[in-house]
Amino acid sequence: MSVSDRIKVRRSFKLIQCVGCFIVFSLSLFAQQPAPVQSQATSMLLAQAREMMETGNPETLLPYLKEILIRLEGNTADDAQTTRAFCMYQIGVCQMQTGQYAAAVAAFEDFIKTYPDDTSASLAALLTAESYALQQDWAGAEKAVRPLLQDRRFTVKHQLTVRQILSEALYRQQKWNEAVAPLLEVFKLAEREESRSSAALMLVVCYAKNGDFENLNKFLPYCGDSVRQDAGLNMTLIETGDKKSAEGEYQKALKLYRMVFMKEELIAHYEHQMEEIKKILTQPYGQRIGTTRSAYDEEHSLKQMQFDRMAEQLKTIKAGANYDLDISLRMARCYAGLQRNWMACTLYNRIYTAFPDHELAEESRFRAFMLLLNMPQEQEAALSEGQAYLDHYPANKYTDETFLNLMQLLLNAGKINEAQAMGQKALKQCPDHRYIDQVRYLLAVIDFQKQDYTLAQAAFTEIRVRWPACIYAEACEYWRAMCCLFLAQYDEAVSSFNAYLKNPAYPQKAFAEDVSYRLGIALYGKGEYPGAEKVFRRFLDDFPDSVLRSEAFCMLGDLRGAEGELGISLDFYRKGMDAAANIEQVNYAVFQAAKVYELQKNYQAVIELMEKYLKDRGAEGNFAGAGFWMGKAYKAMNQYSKAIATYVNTIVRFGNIPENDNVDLILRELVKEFKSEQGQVHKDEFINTLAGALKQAETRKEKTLVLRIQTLFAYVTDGAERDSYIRAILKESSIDKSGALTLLLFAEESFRHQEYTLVYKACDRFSKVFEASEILPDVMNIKLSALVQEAKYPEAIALAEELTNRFGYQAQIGLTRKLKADALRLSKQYDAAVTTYNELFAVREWRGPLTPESLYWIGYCLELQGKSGEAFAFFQRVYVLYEGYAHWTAKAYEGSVRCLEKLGRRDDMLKTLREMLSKAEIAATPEGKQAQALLTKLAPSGGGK
Amino acid sequence: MKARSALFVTGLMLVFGLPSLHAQADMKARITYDKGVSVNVENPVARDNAVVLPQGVLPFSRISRIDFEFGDGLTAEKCGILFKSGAIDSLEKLLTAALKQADPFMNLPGNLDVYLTWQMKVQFWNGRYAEMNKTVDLLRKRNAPSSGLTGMYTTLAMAEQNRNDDAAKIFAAVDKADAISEPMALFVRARLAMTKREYRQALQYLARVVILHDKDTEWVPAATLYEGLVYKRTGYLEAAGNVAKELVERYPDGYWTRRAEELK
Repeated sequence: MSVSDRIKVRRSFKLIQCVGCFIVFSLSLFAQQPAPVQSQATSMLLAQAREMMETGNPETLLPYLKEILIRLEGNTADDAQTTRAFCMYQIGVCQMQTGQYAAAVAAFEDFIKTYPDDTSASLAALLTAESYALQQDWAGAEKAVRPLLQDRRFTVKHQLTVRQILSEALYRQQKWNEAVAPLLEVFKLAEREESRSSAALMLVVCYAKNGDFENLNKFLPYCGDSVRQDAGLNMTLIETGDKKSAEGEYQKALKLYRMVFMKEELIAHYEHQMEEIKKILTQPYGQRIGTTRSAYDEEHSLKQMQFDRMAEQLKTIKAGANYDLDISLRMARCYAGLQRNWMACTLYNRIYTAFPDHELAEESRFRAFMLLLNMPQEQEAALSEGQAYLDHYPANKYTDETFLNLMQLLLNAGKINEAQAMGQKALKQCPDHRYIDQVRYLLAVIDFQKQDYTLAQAAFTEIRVRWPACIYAEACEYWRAMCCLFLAQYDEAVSSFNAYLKNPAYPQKAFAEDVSYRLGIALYGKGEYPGAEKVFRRFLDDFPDSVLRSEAFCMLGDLRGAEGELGISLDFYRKGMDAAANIEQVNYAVFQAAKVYELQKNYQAVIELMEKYLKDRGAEGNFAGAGFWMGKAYKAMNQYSKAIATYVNTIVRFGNIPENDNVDLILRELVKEFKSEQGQVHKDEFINTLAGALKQAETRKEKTLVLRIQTLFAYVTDGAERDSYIRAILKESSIDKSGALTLLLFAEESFRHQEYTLVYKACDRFSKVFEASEILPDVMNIKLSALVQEAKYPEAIALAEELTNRFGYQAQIGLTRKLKADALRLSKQYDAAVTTYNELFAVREWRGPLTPESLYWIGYCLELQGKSGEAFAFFQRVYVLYEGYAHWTAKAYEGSVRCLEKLGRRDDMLKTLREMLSKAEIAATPEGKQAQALLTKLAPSGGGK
Repeated sequence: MKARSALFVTGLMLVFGLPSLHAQADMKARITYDKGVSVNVENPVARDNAVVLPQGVLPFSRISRIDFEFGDGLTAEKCGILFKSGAIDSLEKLLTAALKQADPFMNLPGNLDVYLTWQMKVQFWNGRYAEMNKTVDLLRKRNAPSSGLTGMYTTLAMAEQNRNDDAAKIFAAVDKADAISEPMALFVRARLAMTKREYRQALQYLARVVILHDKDTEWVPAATLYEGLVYKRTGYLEAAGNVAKELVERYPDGYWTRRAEELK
């Protein structure tokens, strides 16, 4: 309650005290009648004044006192002086009571000046200070009250009042530091709980403003119920909390925020207080010793006024906005600062769930997203939260940040396609994106990762030109140079790397280490070998802790090796092995060294090197490569049996784990070896070695290894023997135990047996476990074929698209496109089918056996669309250009005959039939036989010739 | 008035504010019997399933309820205040002494349920699970309104004793756990998740206790403590340290401050 709130409330003469927060005033309730003062005798005036003082009516009393003063002017008698002094003092009191504070100040000052030794002089001085306070003239109040601090004439109660006035005056003038001492005295001296609470409140605010958290903390508990709702206190708690939060003292901030009255608490507090007042108001007056009716009425009016005011305030509080959510948001930040992330997340979540339309809901959702983003194990949750933000706020305060962060999140998760889509969406949705340079940079990085170096190069160049001050400017320069390197633009790469290293704009040079190494690579690519060697040697000197040291050593090995200095070269490769920071670097050094040994014809060294490599690296290493090199070395040493044994041993050693797909590479190598000339010479030995390995694996119940060796047998045997292996493999329970090659065989054979459910299971398993296998497209093509066979065309088309997007222009994707075209054709989407068949001719890797087939099917589609002339032309191209493909040539002749018949070109039809039958291979096909029958029917005399 | 420092005042208030915990006090009982007749008795004595009154012997079978008023001002409200202030050891001592006096009347209906419920709580938090089980049995026998809580405290006790399967089974049998006490049900779920090392899930439950039930004087400090334990177990020692500080600051000089030591 402020002074101005209470100013209308006054108390009786002797009890006047007006110290804003400390004292509650009573009402003046005395009704009076006007009196004709000038006409009355002095004795009457005095008698009337005395009576009025007893009944307490300052307004009516004031003219009497003034009149008495006039009448006694110049009278020096003691009695007259005493009366005059009394009247002067009481005039001040009456003026104070009637709200004429300035006049009261003047009256009291006049009184003190005239009668400095009067017993009421000290009290008058105190009332002067009070009058200043009631005018809210706090500087005046301070000035008036300071001299009274040492006045020994005051009672303890008045001493308290002096300190109350002084402390509030200082407090109101925001003299936080000076206010503390008198407030502490008030806190100690005050007996009334309300006064102590008020002192505590002001102390808390002062300490908060002074940054004295410890003392603030001490006095917070003393802010009692009567002051807890004080807006100033709550604001102070928030402000100090904010200060602490900004200083990183989250625990302290949290404590302060928790002390703030939330709206619900405030309402409950008001309702409780009002209930208490109501109880007092309903108590009837009871005559007791020491109580008067007037005092009861005065108290009653005061309480009623207090109740009405609180009711009004409560209405405002209920209707108004609250800062609860602001506090919750602040608390959430503190929890996050304390690394209690789930507390913070739950708070944010509560804000946007419970108050979805509140302005802070957006802030909360964004903060929750950012918080999850910084929790390494919650990246999926962060993704959902970020996407939810974008769904709710497609063009709001944090939309740009969210897009950018989501892009980075997806990139870090290796989901580059999704990251790219996110970046493109960001640019489309927010053309004036605040972080457009960063989005464009990330998109360029994605292009680089997708090995589209031309696009990436252009993008990095554009970013540097358009946004030279971009935070990624340095990175752009680096990546642009890297694009040059990867595009084999070595001149440009060399000058770009050199320019970067000399660029004074980047004093820190974040990419210096990498660039110093890549410069050597670029020079190497350019053919400047001495320059490259110099750069690699300098790199090794300059970056003794670099993870690229192994690669630099190997490059020096390559350079020296190319010069024929095989010994020096080997030395560098050994250093490369020692400095390797990862398995890829080890592999490069080891296999390059093997090549050198091979050049030296030191096959024993190859074998020893690989044995050591396998011992050191085990399944982590490229054991298939090692096995391959050892086999090769044994073969070169004319130890063929040992070579085969090495291959088989490698399979046996690492082959019982389905995920070891390097084993399958050796299996394929063995199949090739078996079918070679030398393999056929050692066929029995080969089979015996494998059979021994199979038997041992069966004994040891190494299911995966058994399946792998059975797969090998299935590839190198035929007839009944092969069938027995196939039967052993084709069990559903084998799927989870199978390696990559076994699953491929499984899928092929299941498809052959039209066991499509098994095909799907094997393919799905393959796709899950061998995601990076080079034969994955082959396996998925089998699944695609099964879908087409089962007339599941929409699924087939979708899978084909997925595979194309994933594997691009790989050779196997030709079949994928052909199968998609088949699905379109079979679902009678002929135009789309023709378009897709046409794709087969555009990509070099896709041409071959699929070309005549596609030509045939294009003709077939056109024929079904009634375009016999066009169809004929396509059929004709098959047997003119691809005669070697008998199956499609026969079908194409048949198609041509049909078209010619439809076109009414009977002579051409007969001519085509005869041409078809003139080719023995074609004549022997089912289509050839039908053609013969047709020709016989159409031209019996001409026969088949 | 003699001037005192604010701290001195605080000290005095605490000294005078706390109850005299160890004094043995008298017990009063209001016995309601027959058709609503009631009588006040000081230190009631039981003999052969009856109360010995000055005016004669009143068999238990005629008593419809007996409400106790314990010495030392031990009331249900005071139990709450002591629990909230973290004086769990003291509360347990007071309850043990009071309920020992009331032991002969344990099978009679009346206001003992509320004290037994407090006893179950403090026995749980002080790790006296065997004693807690006896209190749980008593509450069940008395058909106390808090019998729903017993299942949840038993679950927690099982979890504390690493009897994880039993804990899960008992909790599964608790009917409408959320209706009994939502913060407690969340806490129990968090504890069960912790037994399965599902720490992420546990933290989510604990956060809901702390944030959505921030006025709860039992489950908020409990959830805060276990939040810290999760951090400690998962290697987030800085966060665990922050939680320990919070417990010490928010619940000074009591049970939770002592438990905060576990986080260091």
